[in-house]
Amino acid sequence: MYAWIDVASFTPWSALIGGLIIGLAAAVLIVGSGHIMGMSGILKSSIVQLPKLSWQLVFVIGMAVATWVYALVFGFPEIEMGQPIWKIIVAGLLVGFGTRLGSGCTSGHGICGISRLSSRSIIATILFLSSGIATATIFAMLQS
Amino acid sequence: MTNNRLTLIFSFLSGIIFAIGLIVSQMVNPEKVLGFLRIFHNWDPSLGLVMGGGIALAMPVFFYVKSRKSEGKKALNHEDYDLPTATKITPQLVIGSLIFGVGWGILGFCPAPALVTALAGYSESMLFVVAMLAGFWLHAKLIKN
Repeated sequence: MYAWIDVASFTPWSALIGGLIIGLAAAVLIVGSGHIMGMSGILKSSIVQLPKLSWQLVFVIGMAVATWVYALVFGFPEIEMGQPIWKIIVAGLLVGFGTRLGSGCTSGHGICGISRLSSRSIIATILFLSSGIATATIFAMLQS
Repeated sequence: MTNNRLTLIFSFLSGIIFAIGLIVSQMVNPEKVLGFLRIFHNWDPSLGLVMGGGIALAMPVFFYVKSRKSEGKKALNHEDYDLPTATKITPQLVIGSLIFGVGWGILGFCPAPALVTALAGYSESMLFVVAMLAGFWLHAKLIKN
């Protein structure tokens, strides 16, 4: 088991604490406003309702403000990008189409849905994890 | 305070906390996500722990909300809890989830991290978000027909 895990890249504390914070965000939204924190639905709704200042738009604005303040105060972490444009477009299209067809993503199904023990969300999460793992593995094999 | 104003306040707060969680957990780094999804190549379990942490906190809260809802109680903004009522495992759910997973496994981006990194100025993420919006649009067109 130890030989299998990439101990150098595993960051248990930031993962756990960050995960708790994400859970807290979902808790605040459901307890405070009665809404599910599903990013794909929220993003789509915010745009579809423009120029209305919907709650979804305000949620996105909150994300923007936090991102910018964090970047100002701590500096946004360096992220390795540099993927070819075709890959970015294909991935984006599949994520956009798939999340709407499947009614959710990692926050909506993965966090909120599982937390409510929704069988639809549990199945959805198993499925997108499976195809995600298969896809990432195939690409990794192709690259090596 | 009006219901609507309360709704907006909680939404704003939640958005802030969500973005912070995504950055702290390093889920905004697609390499961390791919490190988890590539289970046979230098496996990085971090994403599992992120989801575990999120569910650990959110699950008792959702159970509390469900019991409140069954008692006819409302959210802090005095509105009903908008809990999804669908229960059927539909072909759309299955196919959509599989398709989403493929897109996710290509780059390691799902909607929220892509949005945060786009907001942080990464042009690749901005392109991803535009493509994602195009995907939303394509789906909307599909169900219209």
